[in-house]
Amino acid sequence: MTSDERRREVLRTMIRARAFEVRLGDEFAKQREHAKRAFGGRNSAFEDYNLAFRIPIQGNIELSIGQEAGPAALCSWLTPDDYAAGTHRSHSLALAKGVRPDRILAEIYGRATGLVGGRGGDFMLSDPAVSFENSAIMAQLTAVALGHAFAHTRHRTGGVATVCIGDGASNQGIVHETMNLAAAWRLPVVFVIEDNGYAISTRRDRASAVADLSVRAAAYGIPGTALDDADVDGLIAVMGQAVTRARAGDGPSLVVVRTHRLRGAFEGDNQSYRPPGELKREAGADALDRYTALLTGAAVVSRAWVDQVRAAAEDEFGQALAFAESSPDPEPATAQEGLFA
Amino acid sequence: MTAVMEGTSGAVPAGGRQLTFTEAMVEALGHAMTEDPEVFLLGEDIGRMGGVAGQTRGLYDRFGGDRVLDTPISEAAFFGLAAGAAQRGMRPVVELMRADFAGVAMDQIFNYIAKVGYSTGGRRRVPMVIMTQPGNPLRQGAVHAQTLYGMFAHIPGLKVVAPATSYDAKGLLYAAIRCDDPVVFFFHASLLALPYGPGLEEWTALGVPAESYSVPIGAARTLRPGTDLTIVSASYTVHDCLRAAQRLDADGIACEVVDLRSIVPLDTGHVLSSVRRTGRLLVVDEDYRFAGLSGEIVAQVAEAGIGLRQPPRRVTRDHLPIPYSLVLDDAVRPSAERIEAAARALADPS
Repeated sequence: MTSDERRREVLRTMIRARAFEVRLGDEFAKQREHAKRAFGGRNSAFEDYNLAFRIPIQGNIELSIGQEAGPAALCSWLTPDDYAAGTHRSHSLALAKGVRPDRILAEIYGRATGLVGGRGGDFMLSDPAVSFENSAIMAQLTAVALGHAFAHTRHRTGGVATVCIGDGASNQGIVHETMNLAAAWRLPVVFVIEDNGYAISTRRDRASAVADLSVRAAAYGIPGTALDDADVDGLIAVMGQAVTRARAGDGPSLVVVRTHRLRGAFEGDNQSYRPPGELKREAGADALDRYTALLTGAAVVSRAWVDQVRAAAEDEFGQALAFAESSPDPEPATAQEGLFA
Repeated sequence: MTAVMEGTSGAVPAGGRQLTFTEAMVEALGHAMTEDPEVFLLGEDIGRMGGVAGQTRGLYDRFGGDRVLDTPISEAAFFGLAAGAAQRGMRPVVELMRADFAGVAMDQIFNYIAKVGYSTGGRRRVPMVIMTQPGNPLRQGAVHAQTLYGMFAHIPGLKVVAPATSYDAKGLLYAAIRCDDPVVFFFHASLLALPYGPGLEEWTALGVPAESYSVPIGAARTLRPGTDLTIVSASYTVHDCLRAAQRLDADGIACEVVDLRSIVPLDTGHVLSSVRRTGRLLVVDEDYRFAGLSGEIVAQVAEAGIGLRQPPRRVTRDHLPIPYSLVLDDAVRPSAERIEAAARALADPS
């Protein structure tokens, strides 16, 4: 049974992540609009920015709006030293793992104060202090997670490694290699597939041979569970079982979170590939709305608590934005430094 | 050893303790594992079997299955495993059975292991060794004989070493394990029986100290001094260069033979200083000719503004998949004969 304290923290994490993502999306839209005007109305995504004209957010932004529940539930069971790896759509996971939003935003802005000093950007966010990193190479870090799990076991820390990938990345060959090896060596790993039904525009049912990706766990003799994030309490419980099992030395698990991508694959994606009405139905399945209603209805939290947490999250983003905007660029000469230790 | 020495060219082996290239590797691994409990080996058939070339022989019995791990055939997975463990204080030595097999682990090597150190501003480092076998005396064709030095060297973030002797094999492997960066250690298949085998020469039988020692990564060495031209090479072809130099010496052509030992970092200073003295450059590279190490060395010499007495020359593998037939292969790869001809043409263009 999930404690009310944990439920509150999961909801708080979801609210914080939502505020970060919505405000980041707003900022990005403003900046792209500015760029579009500067380039005579052309799509600025195809313009080569330079020092004379650029907007702070380089590249694409992939938001995890609608997908906050899985990372929040997972990380409610993790210590700072447990490893968590994410994808190109990982701001929710980073925040849930304890990465500071101002450092994330400064990194997205390419600033010297960013998580990795402006060298990684949104596709290589990394914070060893809370054992988080992401990669925009699909499923790349599933293998790296094995190493964190291996070292945790060897050093008898009781730590675990977790890795989130999407339904699209789940079809990478390395996922098979990694799940097999984790199971064969009983490594403390939790594999999470965030199944939002689409790999950019390609529907899962056109790309995957099975509708329920959790059945793949059977091939490795490990537990596999699929759950819609409409049931956040259920998700918290399933994540807890998987983490506890790993920590106890009983080996890896697979958890599939059926989730809902409420924005485009990237900002600016008009999602014309979705059938009519689908986006509206998806929005109706927003786990954040449901969980907020559930916990307020059950008096686990009050409306005032929700409002206060939201306001704090807005404030947190505002401060992060001010930090990123006022931070210096890295010194050009430092580009030559640090290729080797 | 006596039997093997009979019938050789009559060259006198260098003095000192003799080890084969693979024995030297085993010794380096043994030292490193004894000194540091975080060092462990990972790869296919390196445990109970001792490696397909004997390069880990005896280590499983000595250190046990927790330190010498036989993996499934899942290079991408166990390269990632090594990269993760390396960031938690462990020192993995991963074997890629053949350099050709890099393809299946390419993303882990090129997009993660090589990049994460720089891309995190040094907040993460990946101290691991990728031990892999290039070349093939059995001439097994396109996907079991490549050298690929240039391909690994091209990606920023990997150190790359390719020793030619047992002495350097031991010292460079030991240095690689203690290095805080990812290091690719090439052990050429045609060198593994050194100092034995056909053509025993003094330079193939350098003594190997019993204690542990490091050969610095990034330091070339002149194996044979000469005044007429500089021959630069690494790994197996160094021996062909030395054989060619020996024959040319009889005709009064004095070749200086530089063994790079390391490809990244490249000891450009050592090469330039030799070429400044000789004024002639021959680069010998068993790897593909196009867009590779040989072109890089020629470019660096050109950019340094050294006035060459003759245009530089290269003896390399042609830009073709390696053909299986020995006859075809001989037509497209370096040999002592091709090196000798190129050197002769450089020294005496008339």
